[in-house]
Amino acid sequence: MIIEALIGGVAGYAIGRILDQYLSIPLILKTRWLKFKGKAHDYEGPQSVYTYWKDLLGPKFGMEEVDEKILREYHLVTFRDVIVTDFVPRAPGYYYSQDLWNDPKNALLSLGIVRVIENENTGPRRLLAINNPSEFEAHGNIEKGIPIVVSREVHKELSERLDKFGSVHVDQITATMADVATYSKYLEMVGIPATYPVVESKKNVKHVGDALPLMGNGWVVYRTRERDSFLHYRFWTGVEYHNDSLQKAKEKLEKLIPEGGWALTDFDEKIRHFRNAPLQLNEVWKYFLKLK
Amino acid sequence: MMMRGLDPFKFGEAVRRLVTRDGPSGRERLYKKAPSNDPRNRDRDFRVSNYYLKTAVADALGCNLRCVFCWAIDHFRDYSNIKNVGTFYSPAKVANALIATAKSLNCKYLRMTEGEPTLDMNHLIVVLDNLKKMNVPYTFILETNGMILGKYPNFAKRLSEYGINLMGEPFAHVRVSIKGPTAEKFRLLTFADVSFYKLQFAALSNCLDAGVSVHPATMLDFIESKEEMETLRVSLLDVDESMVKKLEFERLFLEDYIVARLKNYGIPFEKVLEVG
Repeated sequence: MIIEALIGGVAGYAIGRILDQYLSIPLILKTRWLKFKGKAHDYEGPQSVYTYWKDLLGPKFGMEEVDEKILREYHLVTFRDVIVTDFVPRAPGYYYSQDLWNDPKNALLSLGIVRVIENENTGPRRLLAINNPSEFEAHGNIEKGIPIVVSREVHKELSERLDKFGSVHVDQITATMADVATYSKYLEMVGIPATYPVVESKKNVKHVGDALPLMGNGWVVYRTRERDSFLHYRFWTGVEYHNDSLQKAKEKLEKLIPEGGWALTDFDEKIRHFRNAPLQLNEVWKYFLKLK
Repeated sequence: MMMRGLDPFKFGEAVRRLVTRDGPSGRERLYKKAPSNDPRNRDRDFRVSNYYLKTAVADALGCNLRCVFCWAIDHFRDYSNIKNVGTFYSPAKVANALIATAKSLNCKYLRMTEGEPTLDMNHLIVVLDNLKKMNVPYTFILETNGMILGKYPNFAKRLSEYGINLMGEPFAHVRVSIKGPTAEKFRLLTFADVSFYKLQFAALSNCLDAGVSVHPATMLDFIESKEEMETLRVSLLDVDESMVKKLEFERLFLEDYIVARLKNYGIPFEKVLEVG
């Protein structure tokens, strides 16, 4: 209702643009960059799933040669030595896309993370992300990670450490490539490709270890009388002071919003940082489901 | 008419004289002690950092640029007072302190940051020689603005002589921090003259030619248009195609003092949505 009201108002066009950006990204698994048809990439057509995962998983996850077969539905994919977090990139794959080079402004809008909790829209599955920082990069960056879908059982196995540290190191995690749209309404919102790694049993998660530092990027769209704008602030996961770091990011964002301005969006359902923001994630989900 | 910007070599030499001195066991340089408010740093000269997952970090003072967005606080950029806030370390002491931090906190990498590590090459090379002699399992990450490495290819050749470490990985890895996507942005961000912009890319070339492990990094926050992005991409392509693929995008930390500096110099750092 709030969203409809916002769209219908005098500021309809402007807010519509923001919402368009907002919606087109927190569909979480929908990756706008997949639409890009460039010289090197063509993600549309029957090869899309393979191409997508080949680019994302390739060398970064130790798969120099990605066998097309293993990326099809019902096949197993094993990730080794990864960091798992419940913050998920808003636009997975953006860092590997031509979009980043084509328009950095779009890239900035697309960067950032979201954290969603289980609710009537999500069904029993949870969305996490895995990350494997590239060698010599200054830090792991959640925005460069990839989403995975896990069962309640798997989430429970990880949740204590995720609550405390925000991310956790796992020696090995084995997932089944599956069509996530069959799982829940929430996952129906998925764009292409629909095939994602799904982890059903905690037996498939081996050696949950120490926390390892991984950087997230909290973001907020705000409005003032004059303009709508966008801010982001980074925070650490995988460190003892994770929750303090997240709180600091929230405080910084609040402080950076110009006087008289207010937050339109929030990036976290677990801890609502901007309670008065009209575009809470869940509201957006509901709105989108209604459209569907 | 555009004023000529800062000359990193002249300015760097003046800074170098302030932050180094000749000691009994070689060229000494000023370093910042590890902050005592982090319990991990207790009784240590150098700190541990979350960057690169976990690194032992020596904070060297003094730089040949004056980047507006630099995370080094003004206190450590004020060269009139620099000797009062830093401590002189000999190369051997730097190497030992880095190893002590790395060993006790199980780090994989060693790093020299805060200021420009290559500002005094004599000091840096002896630090690396000391580390090499210890046959350590760590990789030393040299974070540089590329000015000196770009001008002096022999320095890259010297780095290549270190080969691999005990773990069979590169002993030294160079990360060239590209200050801005265009020469004009480089001038705005660093106060240096535009003519020095190309040295950053020369540093990448010199490392590649010498067989030194290297990658570029840049702040995504200061790239404002497609054209700027394309300029950066072409500059990296001119060096080598691999540099485009390896480019690491950094993000700005909006600490209060950095925001104040950016606003003071009118550098845009918020990305405005083009609505309506």
